[in-house]
Amino acid sequence: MDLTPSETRTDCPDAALLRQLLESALPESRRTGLEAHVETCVGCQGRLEALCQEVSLPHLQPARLGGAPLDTATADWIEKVQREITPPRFWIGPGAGMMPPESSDGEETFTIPGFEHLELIGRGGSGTVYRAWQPELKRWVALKTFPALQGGERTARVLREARILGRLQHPHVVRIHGLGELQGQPYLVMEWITGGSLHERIRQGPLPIREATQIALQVATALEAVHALGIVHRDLKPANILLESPPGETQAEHNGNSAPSPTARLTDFSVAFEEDPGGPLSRTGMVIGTPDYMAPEQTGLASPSGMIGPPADIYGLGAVLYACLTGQPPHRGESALATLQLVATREPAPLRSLRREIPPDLATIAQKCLRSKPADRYRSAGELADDLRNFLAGRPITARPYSLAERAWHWARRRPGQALAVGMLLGLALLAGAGGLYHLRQMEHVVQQLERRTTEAERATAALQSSLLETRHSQWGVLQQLNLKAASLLRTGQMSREEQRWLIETTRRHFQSRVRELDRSEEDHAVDRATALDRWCQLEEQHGFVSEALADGQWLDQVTRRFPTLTKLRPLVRRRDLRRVRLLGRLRQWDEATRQVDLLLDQEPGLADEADVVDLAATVRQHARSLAEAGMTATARRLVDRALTRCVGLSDPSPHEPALAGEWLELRWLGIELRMPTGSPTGESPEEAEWLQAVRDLFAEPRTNDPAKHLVFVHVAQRLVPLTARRSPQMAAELSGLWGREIDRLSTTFGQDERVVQWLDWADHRGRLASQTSDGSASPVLDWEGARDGALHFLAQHPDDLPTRQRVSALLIRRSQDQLTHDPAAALAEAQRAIELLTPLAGRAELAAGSTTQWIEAHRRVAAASRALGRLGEARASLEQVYALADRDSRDAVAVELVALSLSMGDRSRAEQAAGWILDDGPARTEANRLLQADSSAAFEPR
Amino acid sequence: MKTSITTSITTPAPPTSLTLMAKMQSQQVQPDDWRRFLQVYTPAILDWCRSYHLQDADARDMTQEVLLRISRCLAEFEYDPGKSFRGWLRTILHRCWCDWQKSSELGGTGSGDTAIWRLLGEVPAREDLARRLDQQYDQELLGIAMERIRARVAPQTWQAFELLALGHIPGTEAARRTGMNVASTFAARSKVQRLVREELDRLRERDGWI
Repeated sequence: MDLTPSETRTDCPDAALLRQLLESALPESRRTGLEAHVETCVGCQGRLEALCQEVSLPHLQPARLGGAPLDTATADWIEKVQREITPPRFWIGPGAGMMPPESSDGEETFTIPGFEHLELIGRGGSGTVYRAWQPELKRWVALKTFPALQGGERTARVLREARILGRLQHPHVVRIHGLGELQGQPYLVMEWITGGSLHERIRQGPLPIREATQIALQVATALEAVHALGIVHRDLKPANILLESPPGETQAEHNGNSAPSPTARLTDFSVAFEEDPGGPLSRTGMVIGTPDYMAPEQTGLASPSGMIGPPADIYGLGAVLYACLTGQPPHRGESALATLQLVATREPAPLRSLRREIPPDLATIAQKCLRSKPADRYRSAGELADDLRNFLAGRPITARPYSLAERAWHWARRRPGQALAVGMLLGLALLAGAGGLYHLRQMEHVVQQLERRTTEAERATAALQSSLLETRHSQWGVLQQLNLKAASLLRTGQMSREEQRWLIETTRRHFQSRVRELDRSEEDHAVDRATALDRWCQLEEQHGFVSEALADGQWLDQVTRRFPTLTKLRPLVRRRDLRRVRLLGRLRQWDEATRQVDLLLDQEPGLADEADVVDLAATVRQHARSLAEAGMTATARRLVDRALTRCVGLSDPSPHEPALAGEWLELRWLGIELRMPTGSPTGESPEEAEWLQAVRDLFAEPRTNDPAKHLVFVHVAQRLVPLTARRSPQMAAELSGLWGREIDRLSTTFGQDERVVQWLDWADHRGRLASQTSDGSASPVLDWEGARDGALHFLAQHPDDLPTRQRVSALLIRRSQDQLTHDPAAALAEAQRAIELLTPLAGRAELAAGSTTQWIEAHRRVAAASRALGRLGEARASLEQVYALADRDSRDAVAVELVALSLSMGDRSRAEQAAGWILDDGPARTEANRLLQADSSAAFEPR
Repeated sequence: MKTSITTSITTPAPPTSLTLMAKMQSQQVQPDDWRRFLQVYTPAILDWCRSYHLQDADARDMTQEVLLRISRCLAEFEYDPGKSFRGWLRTILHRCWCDWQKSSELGGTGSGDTAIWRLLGEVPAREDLARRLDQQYDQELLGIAMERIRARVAPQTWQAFELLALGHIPGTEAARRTGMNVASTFAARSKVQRLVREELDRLRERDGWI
């Protein structure tokens, strides 16, 4: 055996080096050699491919992007639809109203009477801001619109913000000029502040100490006024602080203390809340604000979570000061979630560790604002303002840094635990729920106020009340939203099972606390609440919380007990009962599930009868299949028969309603499948004959010329043939005859592609049956070849029918696999045909998902067949193709195969090279080493 | 009166465009957007109908009906920017179904479409439709991201990405077509892939603002 390494191949580089090559991070000198190696080394090419795949992209389907090549009939039809259906929402034609400029060149593209030169400045979560010139008053103004909101909520929000701003006459709060309405859209007219926002200012770098302090002081005085009116801003952040350039300045300078400082103006009260005068100025926790500048109690995660009041704003201002001084917010995580967690669990890094020149007193002031416990912060914005003034004047400040003991305690708290991570997730989940309640209260408030001023607000009140009613009606919708949030968190797939369980359990508790209200519900609410419960149970079912879903489903009884005759509840009860069957099935409590099915079958058909029966039939079918798989065929048969009777009792024996007709057919087929003889196969027993007759009869039944129905038969036959082939080839042969007839019945216009594929599958099965029965009359090879050529012909005519192309190549690949042992040459040819079919797709993105797998499989088949034919070189070339395209996870296994193949060819150097391609330390590497080891010991054995 | 703007202000460049879906949620829908929305999303609904074995004419009727209801729901439904896109879609679809239920209780619906409407009440089917539409949305974002990156890199670099990442053709063949060496072809692809990924993440973060 030749043990000298091949001279043409150098050693392959390790993965780290390849990664550097990809990132273009290698010096020229090292790159050149490596490039030369990669040029010829298929293994390294494969590994580069694997490394590239580490950055994932969604699967691209260019055919579906805008301007997609639709067939003309569909395109025409869409044109027609477009004319017929009015588009969503009103839109305002050019020149008439609120459209954002399509280009950013500052040209005005819409007008509001009384304003000129409208220019889009920015958009936020709550509103869109334009700058505009008011010619009569010769001033620039900012117009704020609220496009993300609708109807009653919008009116309420706009009025509230206007009212808050109107009450706040303060030099450091942005001033409101008025309120307007255009085509039903309200907008705020506010003073235009020239210097941009503090956010933009901070983006240019940290501010001089004095300027930062002055801005903080100005905002602190503003907050003092805000809090005095019973308002909490709740969203303090640099973007909400506008800077007015000092006169004569067009841009804030930041080169020292000499330049006059800009004047700060607090803005955006869209999430602020106001209390009735005299009432407590706090409110229980809800997540509103921007994570970067949010106070711990706002995250809903800190303990004790709860009351949000002025201290939250003090924290926010502390965070703003922190950002001014350091250029970054106190906490910044990888994501909003991570930031929230940091805010809730940690105190920020000491200011002076980030910027040494910050005076200790100022750092102490900022850090006192940022204490985790609201009670540890400044007691009021006034006190904070005083301390800032003290600092600016060089007087002693009142705040004290933490004592050593306090610091130790905080250090201990900084270790975040698992529970907190999950708590944070729930905090986000609650965001929607709490927000909903919040809006509800706000709206009630506004309605009350408006009612006092009936003359001017009669119409608005009516509108608000109707939307309020709607909101009340869906008060349980808050829980639904919580449900949705939980669902979207679960869907991310990023939570461990433990975290999922925690989330589910916690959300359940929220539901439980509401369930108590169920028996006090009014009728209108009852349905909503029951619906919310239903969706909740559905979520639990989806995510495999089976026993929880079972238990929670019983809550529904509380509603039905109160409203036993409410018909709208019936579908929900049915859904619950059907779900119960599925859930019990998953718990393998067959008897209990069967009892439930019987109960359902006992019930009188309701009003929405047919649809109900379809659901029921589908559930029974599923349950019966599970029973049969668990060996309880008799019960399964009984249930299927009962369900069939139910279908028949409802309508004539062959219902016309398509879904019911389909379900009925499926049930009948299941009944027949369940009666398939089970004794030892004889091929001649009366039982088998009878069964076969039943099958024949069903196939022979007259039916409408409905292609969908033929398709059911085709698919049933497709399932039955391999099923019966195991037991009686004769029976399978007859069924394959029926199958062929059904394929023939598929219309040539609808389903030509299906025909082609079915014929191919059919011919393949015929071939197998023929080899079992050694029936000389059939010519299965000719059948196959005919069907195959038909398929290839079809594909040649329909080059764009990619799904069929894929199905056909899948069958070719399967055929190749079957033929491998007794006709390797045919196997090779079929696999090569499959590759040929797939080749034109190379370079087209459609190939990406399924076809790549097929492409790999086809090459595998070529490798296997070549190997069987003794053409080892070709086998290795194909296997190398497999390696080059295999995905990251299976690649190492292919490398091991290459090691083995090379060794069997006596090419030890190629084997060693392939072993070097293995990326991960794991079983693959162990196996490759073992093979190489075994080979070298074999080399020393005497021949 | 034309006043020239002399005040220099530092504001972020205003976003100038929206994804179609985001436009549908905003109030800035124009006839053109609606047409494009139909062109992009109708086939997904049509495919969905067909996957439940509806015949062509029925599938079209049904699709039109779904679109009609979606358009109504869009007009009424308050958009919550905090909600995920898919969540929003599902809510819309649920509303469509409730709508339909209401009208069918009043006896307002035709006969043949019952089955498929009932499907919309079934969670798996509705999920399936939401998934199809969501995929379409992904495609929209991906398309935007790719267009942007394409404009930012050399044509050759882009071609390498196209051939290797989208076309899945072997490295040697891609190198032959781009005229680069194999290693550089892979490096180019890797670079574009990272850029597209980053752009895509950015787009998703901005929730439809592009």
